[in-house]
Amino acid sequence: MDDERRQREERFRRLYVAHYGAIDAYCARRTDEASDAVDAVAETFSIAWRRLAEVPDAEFVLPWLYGVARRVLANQRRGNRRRGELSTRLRGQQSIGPDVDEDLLAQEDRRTVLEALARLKDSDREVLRLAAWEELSHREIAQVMACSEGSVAVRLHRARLRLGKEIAKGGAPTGHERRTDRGWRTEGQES
Amino acid sequence: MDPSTAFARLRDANPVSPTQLAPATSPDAAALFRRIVAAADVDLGRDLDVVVGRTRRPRRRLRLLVPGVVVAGLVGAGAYAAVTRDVSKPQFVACYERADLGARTQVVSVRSGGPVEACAGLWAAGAFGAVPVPGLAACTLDSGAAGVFPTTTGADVCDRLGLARPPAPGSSTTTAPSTGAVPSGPPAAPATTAADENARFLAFRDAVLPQFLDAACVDPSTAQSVVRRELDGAGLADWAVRVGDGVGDGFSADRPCATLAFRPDERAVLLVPAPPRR
Repeated sequence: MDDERRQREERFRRLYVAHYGAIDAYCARRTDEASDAVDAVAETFSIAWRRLAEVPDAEFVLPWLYGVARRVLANQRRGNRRRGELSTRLRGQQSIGPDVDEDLLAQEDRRTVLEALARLKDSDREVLRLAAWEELSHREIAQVMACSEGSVAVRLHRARLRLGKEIAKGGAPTGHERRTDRGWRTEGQES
Repeated sequence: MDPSTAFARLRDANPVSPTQLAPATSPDAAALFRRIVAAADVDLGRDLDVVVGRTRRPRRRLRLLVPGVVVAGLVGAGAYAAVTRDVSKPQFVACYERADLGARTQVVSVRSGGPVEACAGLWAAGAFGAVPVPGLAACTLDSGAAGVFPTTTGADVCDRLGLARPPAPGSSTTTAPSTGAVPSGPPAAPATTAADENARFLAFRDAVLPQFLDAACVDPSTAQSVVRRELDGAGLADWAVRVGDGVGDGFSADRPCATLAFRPDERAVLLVPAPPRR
């Protein structure tokens, strides 16, 4: 193995060890099936390996990886569209099921929140998830979503307002939604 | 509802707690790492020997294989030459995007494992898009080279395509360890597809290069006969061997040795004057 190859692999190894868990969680939070998450993680890191020269240093590595994973998942969803999967909703339900120790009220609250989240438009959902679940700063979210920090602040503020309104509705449909076996689904909504 | 409260409830509803992330040291994560890094051997633009199929090179591009470049570019050429003729270890495989002989193909070297593994690496590297690696099966193309097709029916795809199955049981699908048992001997039948043609060219190239690498200087006459013989042996009898062809100033006292340049688009191999190797 030549020096260049060794250095490249070592850099990738550090990146992988540092961020595998975060990317795995990111994909798992946004997919219905565990296999989809596994595929997305694999594709994300494969891209990182192939484009290692483009990966930014230090603090911006993880947002860069999130950005890649976001696009990988978008491609994956397009491929799965015909199957009518609805990521967040099912993911939320799946996460509730096995947790037998969780208080029933907490389970119901989580379901309500996830259903409210699922009724938001995609950009609202993503900015909220990045802030609440990945705990990213505005600057990092801006990198993931390829927009300005100012735009992130505005989007996040509005998304939080809309989430509050949806939660207040208590999970009830808003007229143009229908109940499916996976939760509330907006007509024409991209899964 | 107050937005702050809503946001806090959303945070609590996180399906995967930030404190419970999967470790990169788990068996699955470690296996993925190895797979990705191993795919570097077929990484496009880096270690991939040739990406052909329907990708067209610039018409006027000339690939000069001057000795220094060849030595630097082909690591372990001696060992490579030693196994070139081992028909149980194919050197190249045509990876098909679909189970269709007219589908887009990419030809890659088989560096370890078998043809299925080589193509699986190519798929994993995203050569056919951001899709999971499908089930793959190896067949023997009419040329005798290996072809690997995506399939859900294992080696049955070979029957459906009218191709021979690989000779060794258990080596033909991703569900079984491959021993690379698809033969790679000199093709006998005329080329029928672009992939076949590519496989023939690659077989020729890998047969002829060591003969130039191992010699300090190959005179033009010897070079012409060697190239002609290997072209014929690879089923490329209609390819031309041309001398000079406007490259450099011709053979001279300073440049008495022949090196090779390939022009697949013109179905020609050029003998290019070069100084002796030190």
